[in-house]
Amino acid sequence: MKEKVSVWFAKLNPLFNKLGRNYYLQAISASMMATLGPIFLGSFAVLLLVFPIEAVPQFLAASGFASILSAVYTFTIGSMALYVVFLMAKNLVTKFIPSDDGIMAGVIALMSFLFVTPLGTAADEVSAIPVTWLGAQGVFSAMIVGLLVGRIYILFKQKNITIRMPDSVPPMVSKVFESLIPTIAIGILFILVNRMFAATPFGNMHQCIYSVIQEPLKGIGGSIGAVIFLSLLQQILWFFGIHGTNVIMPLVQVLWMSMDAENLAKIAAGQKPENVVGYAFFMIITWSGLALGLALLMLVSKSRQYKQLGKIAIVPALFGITEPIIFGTPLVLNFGLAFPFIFNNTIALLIAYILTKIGILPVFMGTTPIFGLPLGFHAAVQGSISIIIAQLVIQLILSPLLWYPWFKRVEKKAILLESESEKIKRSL
Amino acid sequence: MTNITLVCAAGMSTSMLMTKMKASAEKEGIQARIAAMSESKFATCTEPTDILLLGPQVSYLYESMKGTYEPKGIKVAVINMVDYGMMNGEKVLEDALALLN
Repeated sequence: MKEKVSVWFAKLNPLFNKLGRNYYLQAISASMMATLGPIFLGSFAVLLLVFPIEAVPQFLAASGFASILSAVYTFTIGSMALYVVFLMAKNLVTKFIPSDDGIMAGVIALMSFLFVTPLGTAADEVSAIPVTWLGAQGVFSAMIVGLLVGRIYILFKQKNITIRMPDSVPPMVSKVFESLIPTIAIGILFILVNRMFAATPFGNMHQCIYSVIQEPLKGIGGSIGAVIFLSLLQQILWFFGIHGTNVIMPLVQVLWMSMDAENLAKIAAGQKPENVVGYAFFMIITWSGLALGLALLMLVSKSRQYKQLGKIAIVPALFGITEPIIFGTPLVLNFGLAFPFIFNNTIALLIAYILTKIGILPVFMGTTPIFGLPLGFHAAVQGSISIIIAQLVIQLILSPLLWYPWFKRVEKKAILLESESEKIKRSL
Repeated sequence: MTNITLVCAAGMSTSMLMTKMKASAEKEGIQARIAAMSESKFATCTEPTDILLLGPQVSYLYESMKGTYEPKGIKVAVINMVDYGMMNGEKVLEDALALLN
Protein backbone atom coordinates (compact mmCIF):
# COMPACT_ATOMS: atom_id res chain seq x y z
CA MET A 1 0.00 0.00 0.00
CA LYS A 2 2.79 2.35 0.96
CA GLU A 3 4.55 1.86 -2.37
CA LYS A 4 1.35 2.30 -4.34
CA VAL A 5 0.49 5.52 -2.56
CA SER A 6 3.93 6.99 -2.96
CA VAL A 7 4.14 6.04 -6.64
CA TRP A 8 0.78 7.66 -7.21
CA PHE A 9 1.86 10.74 -5.33
CA ALA A 10 5.15 10.99 -7.19
CA LYS A 11 3.08 11.68 -10.30
CA LEU A 12 2.04 14.97 -8.67
CA ASN A 13 5.67 16.06 -8.23
CA PRO A 14 5.74 18.19 -11.39
CA LEU A 15 2.75 20.13 -10.01
CA PHE A 16 4.49 20.91 -6.71
CA ASN A 17 7.63 21.68 -8.60
CA LYS A 18 5.67 24.24 -10.63
CA LEU A 19 3.96 25.69 -7.57
CA GLY A 20 7.14 25.79 -5.51
CA ARG A 21 9.19 27.37 -8.25
CA ASN A 22 6.58 29.74 -9.61
CA TYR A 23 8.27 33.14 -9.79
CA TYR A 24 5.12 35.07 -8.94
CA LEU A 25 4.37 33.00 -5.85
CA GLN A 26 8.01 33.15 -4.78
CA ALA A 27 8.05 36.93 -5.22
CA ILE A 28 4.80 37.30 -3.23
CA SER A 29 6.09 35.16 -0.41
CA ALA A 30 9.51 36.83 -0.25
CA SER A 31 7.92 40.29 -0.31
CA MET A 32 5.47 39.56 2.49
CA MET A 33 8.28 38.13 4.63
CA ALA A 34 10.42 41.21 3.97
CA THR A 35 7.76 43.50 5.48
CA LEU A 36 8.34 41.76 8.79
CA GLY A 37 10.77 44.39 10.14
CA PRO A 38 8.55 47.46 9.79
CA ILE A 39 5.43 45.51 10.78
CA PHE A 40 7.13 44.25 13.89
CA LEU A 41 8.28 47.72 14.90
CA GLY A 42 4.81 49.11 14.24
CA SER A 43 3.15 46.35 16.26
CA PHE A 44 5.44 47.13 19.12
CA ALA A 45 4.34 50.76 19.02
CA VAL A 46 0.68 49.70 19.02
CA LEU A 47 1.31 47.29 21.86
CA LEU A 48 2.78 50.06 24.01
CA LEU A 49 -0.11 52.39 23.17
CA VAL A 50 -2.69 49.88 24.38
CA PHE A 51 -0.54 48.23 27.04
CA PRO A 52 -2.67 46.22 29.49
CA ILE A 53 -1.17 48.06 32.48
CA GLU A 54 -3.01 51.40 32.56
CA ALA A 55 0.00 53.37 33.80
CA VAL A 56 1.94 52.80 30.58
CA PRO A 57 -0.53 54.37 28.09
CA GLN A 58 -1.23 57.12 30.62
CA PHE A 59 2.46 57.98 30.89
CA LEU A 60 2.84 57.90 27.09
CA ALA A 61 -0.10 60.25 26.61
CA ALA A 62 1.11 62.66 29.29
CA SER A 63 4.71 62.72 28.07
CA GLY A 64 3.80 63.18 24.40
CA PHE A 65 5.39 59.89 23.41
CA ALA A 66 2.00 58.61 22.34
CA SER A 67 1.96 60.80 19.23
CA ILE A 68 5.45 59.61 18.30
CA LEU A 69 4.33 56.01 18.66
CA SER A 70 1.24 56.52 16.55
CA ALA A 71 3.42 58.08 13.87
CA VAL A 72 5.58 54.95 14.02
CA TYR A 73 2.44 52.90 13.50
CA THR A 74 1.25 55.08 10.59
CA PHE A 75 4.52 54.80 8.70
CA THR A 76 4.98 51.07 9.27
CA ILE A 77 1.77 49.01 9.35
CA GLY A 78 -0.29 51.98 8.26
CA SER A 79 1.90 52.29 5.15
CA MET A 80 2.33 48.57 4.51
CA ALA A 81 1.15 48.87 0.89
CA LEU A 82 4.06 51.19 0.05
CA TYR A 83 6.59 48.57 1.17
CA VAL A 84 4.66 45.78 -0.52
CA VAL A 85 4.44 47.49 -3.91
CA PHE A 86 8.18 48.17 -3.99
CA LEU A 87 9.13 44.68 -2.81
CA MET A 88 6.78 42.85 -5.20
CA ALA A 89 8.29 44.52 -8.26
CA LYS A 90 11.84 44.18 -6.99
CA ASN A 91 11.51 40.52 -6.08
CA LEU A 92 9.74 39.57 -9.29
CA VAL A 93 12.47 41.21 -11.38
CA THR A 94 15.30 39.52 -9.48
CA LYS A 95 13.55 36.16 -9.94
CA PHE A 96 13.25 36.60 -13.71
CA ILE A 97 16.55 38.43 -14.24
CA PRO A 98 19.03 37.48 -11.50
CA SER A 99 21.57 40.02 -12.82
CA ASP A 100 19.14 42.93 -12.25
CA ASP A 101 18.90 44.16 -8.66
CA GLY A 102 15.27 45.13 -9.22
CA ILE A 103 15.65 48.48 -7.48
CA MET A 104 14.59 50.54 -10.51
CA ALA A 105 11.53 48.34 -11.00
CA GLY A 106 10.68 48.80 -7.33
CA VAL A 107 10.96 52.57 -7.67
CA ILE A 108 8.76 52.59 -10.77
CA ALA A 109 6.20 50.43 -8.95
CA LEU A 110 6.11 52.81 -6.00
CA MET A 111 5.64 55.74 -8.38
CA SER A 112 2.86 53.94 -10.24
CA PHE A 113 1.12 53.05 -7.00
CA LEU A 114 1.14 56.71 -5.96
CA PHE A 115 -0.19 57.71 -9.40
CA VAL A 116 -3.32 55.64 -8.83
CA THR A 117 -3.73 56.80 -5.23
CA PRO A 118 -6.23 59.66 -4.92
CA LEU A 119 -5.05 62.88 -3.33
CA GLY A 120 -7.23 64.35 -0.67
CA THR A 121 -7.37 67.77 0.92
CA ALA A 122 -6.99 68.23 4.63
CA ALA A 123 -9.15 70.67 6.56
CA ASP A 124 -6.51 73.39 6.36
CA GLU A 125 -6.41 73.17 2.54
CA VAL A 126 -3.15 71.24 2.44
CA SER A 127 -2.98 68.49 -0.19
CA ALA A 128 -2.55 65.16 1.50
CA ILE A 129 -2.41 61.48 0.68
CA PRO A 130 -5.17 59.76 2.61
CA VAL A 131 -3.55 56.91 4.53
CA THR A 132 -6.64 54.78 3.79
CA TRP A 133 -5.02 53.11 0.81
CA LEU A 134 -1.49 52.90 2.15
CA GLY A 135 -2.35 50.40 4.87
CA ALA A 136 -4.07 47.01 4.93
CA GLN A 137 -6.82 48.09 2.52
CA GLY A 138 -4.29 48.87 -0.18
CA VAL A 139 -2.22 45.71 0.13
CA PHE A 140 -3.91 43.77 -2.67
CA SER A 141 -3.78 46.77 -4.94
CA ALA A 142 -0.09 47.14 -4.07
CA MET A 143 0.54 43.50 -4.88
CA ILE A 144 -1.18 43.79 -8.26
CA VAL A 145 0.57 47.06 -9.18
CA GLY A 146 3.94 45.72 -8.00
CA LEU A 147 3.72 42.46 -9.95
CA LEU A 148 2.33 44.19 -13.04
CA VAL A 149 5.06 46.84 -13.07
CA GLY A 150 7.68 44.17 -12.43
CA ARG A 151 6.37 42.09 -15.34
CA ILE A 152 6.29 45.05 -17.75
CA TYR A 153 9.79 46.09 -16.69
CA ILE A 154 11.00 42.55 -17.37
CA LEU A 155 9.43 42.71 -20.85
CA PHE A 156 11.29 45.93 -21.60
CA LYS A 157 14.54 44.39 -20.40
CA GLN A 158 14.10 41.12 -22.27
CA LYS A 159 13.10 42.86 -25.50
CA ASN A 160 16.03 45.21 -24.97
CA ILE A 161 13.89 48.33 -25.30
CA THR A 162 16.17 50.83 -23.64
CA ILE A 163 18.41 53.82 -24.27
CA ARG A 164 21.88 52.47 -24.84
CA MET A 165 24.83 54.61 -23.85
CA PRO A 166 28.33 54.37 -25.35
CA ASP A 167 30.66 52.09 -23.38
CA SER A 168 32.69 55.06 -22.14
CA VAL A 169 29.74 56.26 -20.02
CA PRO A 170 30.14 55.09 -16.40
CA PRO A 171 27.83 52.14 -15.60
CA MET A 172 26.06 54.04 -12.82
CA VAL A 173 25.05 56.76 -15.28
CA SER A 174 24.00 54.39 -18.04
CA LYS A 175 21.87 52.46 -15.53
CA VAL A 176 19.78 55.57 -14.94
CA PHE A 177 19.28 56.07 -18.67
CA GLU A 178 18.44 52.41 -19.17
CA SER A 179 15.49 52.71 -16.86
CA LEU A 180 14.18 55.93 -18.45
CA ILE A 181 12.04 54.30 -21.13
CA PRO A 182 10.33 51.80 -18.82
CA THR A 183 9.79 54.55 -16.23
CA ILE A 184 8.13 56.87 -18.72
CA ALA A 185 6.09 54.15 -20.43
CA ILE A 186 4.87 52.54 -17.20
CA GLY A 187 4.26 55.95 -15.65
CA ILE A 188 2.03 57.03 -18.53
CA LEU A 189 0.22 53.69 -18.39
CA PHE A 190 -0.71 54.18 -14.74
CA ILE A 191 -1.69 57.81 -15.26
CA LEU A 192 -4.13 56.51 -17.87
CA VAL A 193 -5.26 53.68 -15.58
CA ASN A 194 -5.99 56.26 -12.92
CA ARG A 195 -8.07 58.34 -15.34
CA MET A 196 -9.99 55.24 -16.35
CA PHE A 197 -10.87 54.25 -12.80
CA ALA A 198 -11.82 57.84 -12.01
CA ALA A 199 -14.60 57.46 -14.57
CA THR A 200 -16.01 54.35 -12.84
CA PRO A 201 -18.32 54.40 -9.81
CA PHE A 202 -15.35 53.19 -7.71
CA GLY A 203 -13.55 56.48 -8.23
CA ASN A 204 -10.09 54.96 -8.05
CA MET A 205 -8.21 51.72 -8.69
CA HIS A 206 -7.63 50.90 -5.01
CA GLN A 207 -11.33 51.09 -4.20
CA CYS A 208 -12.14 48.84 -7.15
CA ILE A 209 -9.58 46.18 -6.22
CA TYR A 210 -10.60 46.35 -2.59
CA SER A 211 -14.31 45.90 -3.31
CA VAL A 212 -14.00 43.44 -6.19
CA ILE A 213 -11.10 41.27 -4.98
CA GLN A 214 -9.91 41.85 -1.42
CA GLU A 215 -13.25 41.93 0.40
CA PRO A 216 -14.75 38.86 -1.30
CA LEU A 217 -11.47 36.95 -0.85
CA LYS A 218 -11.52 37.80 2.82
CA GLY A 219 -14.98 36.27 3.02
CA ILE A 220 -13.72 33.03 1.47
CA GLY A 221 -10.07 32.64 2.51
CA GLY A 222 -10.49 34.37 5.85
CA SER A 223 -13.12 31.97 7.21
CA ILE A 224 -12.38 29.22 9.72
CA GLY A 225 -13.49 26.70 7.07
CA ALA A 226 -10.80 27.85 4.67
CA VAL A 227 -8.22 27.89 7.44
CA ILE A 228 -9.01 24.28 8.31
CA PHE A 229 -9.04 23.22 4.68
CA LEU A 230 -5.60 24.77 4.14
CA SER A 231 -4.28 23.25 7.34
CA LEU A 232 -5.39 19.79 6.22
CA LEU A 233 -3.89 20.32 2.78
CA GLN A 234 -0.64 21.46 4.38
CA GLN A 235 -0.42 18.40 6.61
CA ILE A 236 -1.38 15.96 3.85
CA LEU A 237 1.47 17.40 1.78
CA TRP A 238 3.81 16.98 4.77
CA PHE A 239 2.56 13.40 5.10
CA PHE A 240 3.90 12.80 1.61
CA GLY A 241 7.17 14.43 2.61
CA ILE A 242 6.55 17.77 0.96
CA HIS A 243 7.07 21.09 2.73
CA GLY A 244 3.33 21.81 2.90
CA THR A 245 3.69 25.17 4.62
CA ASN A 246 5.81 26.46 1.75
CA VAL A 247 3.26 25.31 -0.79
CA ILE A 248 0.13 26.80 0.79
CA MET A 249 1.52 30.02 2.31
CA PRO A 250 2.15 32.02 -0.87
CA LEU A 251 -1.49 31.38 -1.81
CA VAL A 252 -2.94 32.98 1.32
CA GLN A 253 -0.17 35.01 2.91
CA VAL A 254 -1.16 38.35 1.38
CA LEU A 255 -4.77 37.91 2.45
CA TRP A 256 -3.98 36.70 5.96
CA MET A 257 -1.30 39.30 6.60
CA SER A 258 -3.59 42.09 5.40
CA MET A 259 -6.27 40.79 7.79
CA ASP A 260 -3.69 40.97 10.58
CA ALA A 261 -2.83 44.51 9.54
CA GLU A 262 -6.54 45.38 9.70
CA ASN A 263 -6.60 44.16 13.29
CA LEU A 264 -3.58 46.28 14.16
CA ALA A 265 -5.20 49.29 12.49
CA LYS A 266 -8.35 48.81 14.56
CA ILE A 267 -6.34 48.57 17.77
CA ALA A 268 -4.27 51.64 16.90
CA ALA A 269 -7.53 53.52 16.35
CA GLY A 270 -8.76 52.44 19.77
CA GLN A 271 -11.31 49.98 18.38
CA LYS A 272 -11.75 46.23 18.79
CA PRO A 273 -10.01 43.97 16.23
CA GLU A 274 -12.45 41.77 14.31
CA ASN A 275 -10.54 39.20 12.30
CA VAL A 276 -10.32 36.05 14.42
CA VAL A 277 -8.21 34.14 11.91
CA GLY A 278 -5.18 35.41 10.05
CA TYR A 279 -1.51 34.70 9.56
CA ALA A 280 -0.60 35.24 13.21
CA PHE A 281 -3.48 33.04 14.40
CA PHE A 282 -2.55 30.22 12.04
CA MET A 283 1.18 30.30 12.77
CA ILE A 284 0.87 30.59 16.54
CA ILE A 285 -1.80 27.94 17.00
CA THR A 286 -0.28 25.38 14.63
CA TRP A 287 3.27 26.18 15.75
CA SER A 288 5.66 23.31 14.96
CA GLY A 289 2.75 21.43 13.38
CA LEU A 290 2.12 20.25 16.96
CA ALA A 291 5.09 17.91 16.58
CA LEU A 292 6.69 19.06 19.83
CA GLY A 293 4.32 16.80 21.75
CA LEU A 294 5.58 13.79 19.86
CA ALA A 295 9.18 14.76 20.56
CA LEU A 296 8.30 14.94 24.28
CA LEU A 297 6.69 11.49 24.23
CA MET A 298 9.78 10.10 22.52
CA LEU A 299 12.07 11.58 25.14
CA VAL A 300 10.45 9.38 27.80
CA SER A 301 9.95 6.39 25.49
CA LYS A 302 11.21 2.95 26.44
CA SER A 303 12.12 2.26 22.82
CA ARG A 304 15.78 3.01 22.28
CA GLN A 305 15.23 4.13 18.69
CA TYR A 306 12.58 6.68 19.66
CA LYS A 307 14.40 7.84 22.74
CA GLN A 308 17.45 8.64 20.67
CA LEU A 309 15.37 10.50 18.11
CA GLY A 310 13.63 12.39 20.92
CA LYS A 311 17.00 13.59 22.17
CA ILE A 312 17.98 14.79 18.70
CA ALA A 313 14.61 16.33 17.91
CA ILE A 314 13.68 18.08 21.14
CA VAL A 315 15.91 21.15 20.95
CA PRO A 316 15.12 22.10 17.33
CA ALA A 317 11.43 21.34 18.08
CA LEU A 318 11.49 23.89 20.92
CA PHE A 319 12.37 26.43 18.22
CA GLY A 320 9.61 25.22 15.91
CA ILE A 321 11.90 23.24 13.60
CA THR A 322 10.45 19.78 13.17
CA GLU A 323 12.19 18.19 10.22
CA PRO A 324 14.10 15.77 12.49
CA ILE A 325 10.85 14.44 13.95
CA ILE A 326 9.07 14.37 10.59
CA PHE A 327 11.81 12.54 8.73
CA GLY A 328 13.45 10.70 11.61
CA THR A 329 10.34 8.93 12.97
CA PRO A 330 9.48 8.97 10.02
CA LEU A 331 6.05 10.57 9.90
CA VAL A 332 6.20 10.64 6.13
CA LEU A 333 3.98 7.88 4.68
CA ASN A 334 3.67 6.39 8.15
CA PHE A 335 0.06 5.27 8.29
CA GLY A 336 0.30 4.38 11.97
CA LEU A 337 0.75 8.05 12.87
CA ALA A 338 -1.05 9.60 9.90
CA PHE A 339 -4.18 10.57 11.83
CA PRO A 340 -2.57 12.79 14.46
CA PHE A 341 -0.04 14.13 11.95
CA ILE A 342 -2.78 15.31 9.63
CA PHE A 343 -5.55 16.28 12.07
CA ASN A 344 -3.81 17.67 15.18
CA ASN A 345 -3.44 21.14 13.66
CA THR A 346 -7.12 21.22 12.79
CA ILE A 347 -8.13 20.22 16.31
CA ALA A 348 -5.96 22.97 17.79
CA LEU A 349 -7.26 25.56 15.31
CA LEU A 350 -10.87 24.67 16.08
CA ILE A 351 -10.32 24.85 19.83
CA ALA A 352 -8.54 28.19 19.56
CA TYR A 353 -11.23 29.54 17.25
CA ILE A 354 -14.02 28.56 19.64
CA LEU A 355 -12.13 29.94 22.65
CA THR A 356 -11.70 33.24 20.81
CA LYS A 357 -15.35 33.35 19.73
CA ILE A 358 -16.61 32.83 23.28
CA GLY A 359 -14.16 35.41 24.56
CA ILE A 360 -11.77 33.29 26.62
CA LEU A 361 -8.91 34.16 24.25
CA PRO A 362 -8.63 37.73 22.93
CA VAL A 363 -8.68 38.32 19.18
CA PHE A 364 -5.08 38.19 17.97
CA MET A 365 -3.48 41.60 17.60
CA GLY A 366 -1.99 40.55 14.29
CA THR A 367 1.73 41.05 14.86
CA THR A 368 3.62 38.84 12.42
CA PRO A 369 5.15 36.02 14.45
CA ILE A 370 8.82 35.36 13.82
CA PHE A 371 9.73 31.84 12.77
CA GLY A 372 12.58 30.44 14.83
CA LEU A 373 11.63 32.01 18.15
CA PRO A 374 11.27 29.41 20.92
CA LEU A 375 7.97 28.13 22.28
CA GLY A 376 6.05 30.81 24.17
CA PHE A 377 8.24 33.68 22.95
CA HIS A 378 6.84 32.96 19.52
CA ALA A 379 3.35 33.76 20.80
CA ALA A 380 4.45 36.69 22.98
CA VAL A 381 4.28 39.17 20.10
CA GLN A 382 0.48 39.18 20.38
CA GLY A 383 0.93 41.06 23.63
CA SER A 384 -1.46 38.84 25.55
CA ILE A 385 -0.62 36.53 28.43
CA SER A 386 -3.57 34.29 27.59
CA ILE A 387 -2.32 33.72 24.06
CA ILE A 388 1.10 32.74 25.41
CA ILE A 389 -0.59 30.35 27.83
CA ALA A 390 -2.71 28.99 24.97
CA GLN A 391 0.42 28.18 22.95
CA LEU A 392 2.05 26.50 25.94
CA VAL A 393 -1.05 24.45 26.74
CA ILE A 394 -1.53 23.40 23.11
CA GLN A 395 2.09 22.33 22.74
CA LEU A 396 2.85 20.86 26.15
CA ILE A 397 -0.49 19.31 27.15
CA LEU A 398 -2.90 19.00 24.21
CA SER A 399 -0.29 17.88 21.68
CA PRO A 400 1.20 15.01 23.74
CA LEU A 401 -2.36 13.86 24.57
CA LEU A 402 -3.36 13.84 20.92
CA TRP A 403 -0.27 11.86 19.92
CA TYR A 404 -0.32 9.50 22.90
CA PRO A 405 -2.71 6.68 21.82
CA TRP A 406 -1.21 6.49 18.34
CA PHE A 407 2.37 6.71 19.51
CA LYS A 408 1.85 3.96 22.13
CA ARG A 409 0.92 1.54 19.35
CA VAL A 410 3.98 2.19 17.17
CA GLU A 411 6.18 2.31 20.27
CA LYS A 412 5.00 -1.14 21.34
CA LYS A 413 5.98 -2.53 17.96
CA ALA A 414 9.37 -0.84 18.11
CA ILE A 415 10.09 -2.20 21.59
CA LEU A 416 9.12 -5.69 20.46
CA LEU A 417 11.42 -5.43 17.43
CA GLU A 418 14.24 -4.10 19.55
CA SER A 419 14.01 -6.89 22.14
CA GLU A 420 13.81 -9.53 19.40
CA SER A 421 16.92 -8.27 17.65
CA GLU A 422 18.57 -8.16 21.06
CA LYS A 423 17.70 -11.83 21.58
CA ILE A 424 19.11 -12.77 18.16
CA LYS A 425 22.29 -10.85 18.91
CA ARG A 426 22.71 -12.65 22.23
CA SER A 427 22.10 -16.10 20.76
CA LEU A 428 24.76 -15.50 18.12
CA MET B 1 38.48 20.07 -1.94
CA THR B 2 34.90 19.00 -2.46
CA ASN B 3 32.12 21.59 -2.35
CA ILE B 4 28.83 20.32 -1.00
CA THR B 5 25.71 22.48 -0.92
CA LEU B 6 22.60 21.49 1.01
CA VAL B 7 19.28 23.07 0.10
CA CYS B 8 15.84 22.96 1.67
CA ALA B 9 12.87 25.30 1.80
CA ALA B 10 14.26 27.89 4.20
CA GLY B 11 17.75 26.57 4.88
CA MET B 12 16.94 26.09 8.58
CA SER B 13 17.04 22.36 9.12
CA THR B 14 19.74 21.79 6.49
CA SER B 15 21.96 24.16 8.43
CA MET B 16 21.69 21.79 11.41
CA LEU B 17 22.74 18.88 9.24
CA MET B 18 25.53 21.01 7.79
CA THR B 19 27.04 21.46 11.25
CA LYS B 20 26.98 17.70 11.81
CA MET B 21 28.54 17.03 8.41
CA LYS B 22 31.29 19.58 9.00
CA ALA B 23 32.14 17.94 12.30
CA SER B 24 32.24 14.54 10.68
CA ALA B 25 34.43 15.80 7.80
CA GLU B 26 36.84 17.31 10.28
CA LYS B 27 37.01 14.11 12.30
CA GLU B 28 37.76 11.99 9.26
CA GLY B 29 40.15 14.52 7.75
CA ILE B 30 38.03 15.00 4.64
CA GLN B 31 38.65 18.21 2.72
CA ALA B 32 35.14 19.52 2.13
CA ARG B 33 33.44 22.88 2.11
CA ILE B 34 29.82 22.44 3.16
CA ALA B 35 27.15 25.13 2.87
CA ALA B 36 23.39 25.22 3.49
CA MET B 37 20.89 27.61 1.97
CA SER B 38 17.33 27.97 0.76
CA GLU B 39 16.39 26.53 -2.58
CA SER B 40 15.63 29.97 -4.05
CA LYS B 41 18.94 31.40 -2.88
CA PHE B 42 20.90 28.65 -4.59
CA ALA B 43 19.87 29.94 -8.03
CA THR B 44 21.85 33.16 -7.47
CA CYS B 45 24.67 31.63 -5.44
CA THR B 46 28.06 32.10 -7.08
CA GLU B 47 30.10 29.78 -4.85
CA PRO B 48 31.26 26.60 -6.59
CA THR B 49 29.29 23.40 -5.95
CA ASP B 50 30.26 19.84 -6.80
CA ILE B 51 27.48 18.04 -5.01
CA LEU B 52 24.00 19.44 -4.51
CA LEU B 53 21.96 17.70 -1.82
CA LEU B 54 18.22 18.30 -1.48
CA GLY B 55 16.41 17.99 1.83
CA PRO B 56 13.67 15.34 1.62
CA GLN B 57 10.99 18.02 2.05
CA VAL B 58 11.95 19.52 -1.31
CA SER B 59 12.50 16.18 -3.08
CA TYR B 60 9.87 17.26 -5.61
CA LEU B 61 12.49 19.64 -7.02
CA TYR B 62 14.83 16.76 -7.84
CA GLU B 63 13.95 16.32 -11.51
CA SER B 64 14.15 19.99 -12.39
CA MET B 65 17.30 20.61 -10.34
CA LYS B 66 18.93 17.61 -11.96
CA GLY B 67 17.96 18.93 -15.37
CA THR B 68 19.46 22.34 -14.62
CA TYR B 69 22.62 21.42 -12.76
CA GLU B 70 23.81 18.02 -13.98
CA PRO B 71 24.82 19.40 -17.38
CA LYS B 72 27.00 21.84 -15.41
CA GLY B 73 28.81 18.92 -13.84
CA ILE B 74 27.06 19.09 -10.46
CA LYS B 75 25.92 15.84 -8.86
CA VAL B 76 22.36 16.14 -7.56
CA ALA B 77 20.78 13.85 -4.95
CA VAL B 78 18.01 13.78 -2.36
CA ILE B 79 19.16 13.11 1.20
CA ASN B 80 17.89 9.86 2.70
CA MET B 81 14.85 10.71 4.81
CA VAL B 82 15.78 8.89 8.01
CA ASP B 83 19.43 10.00 7.87
CA TYR B 84 18.12 13.52 7.52
CA GLY B 85 15.76 13.18 10.46
CA MET B 86 18.37 11.58 12.68
CA MET B 87 20.82 14.30 11.60
CA ASN B 88 23.31 11.58 10.67
CA GLY B 89 26.01 13.85 9.25
CA GLU B 90 28.53 11.06 8.88
CA LYS B 91 26.26 8.90 6.74
CA VAL B 92 25.04 11.79 4.58
CA LEU B 93 28.62 12.91 3.95
CA GLU B 94 29.67 9.37 3.09
CA ASP B 95 26.74 8.95 0.66
CA ALA B 96 27.46 12.32 -0.91
CA LEU B 97 31.13 11.59 -1.51
CA ALA B 98 30.20 8.21 -2.96
CA LEU B 99 28.35 10.10 -5.72
CA LEU B 100 31.65 11.34 -7.06
CA ASN B 101 32.97 7.85 -7.70
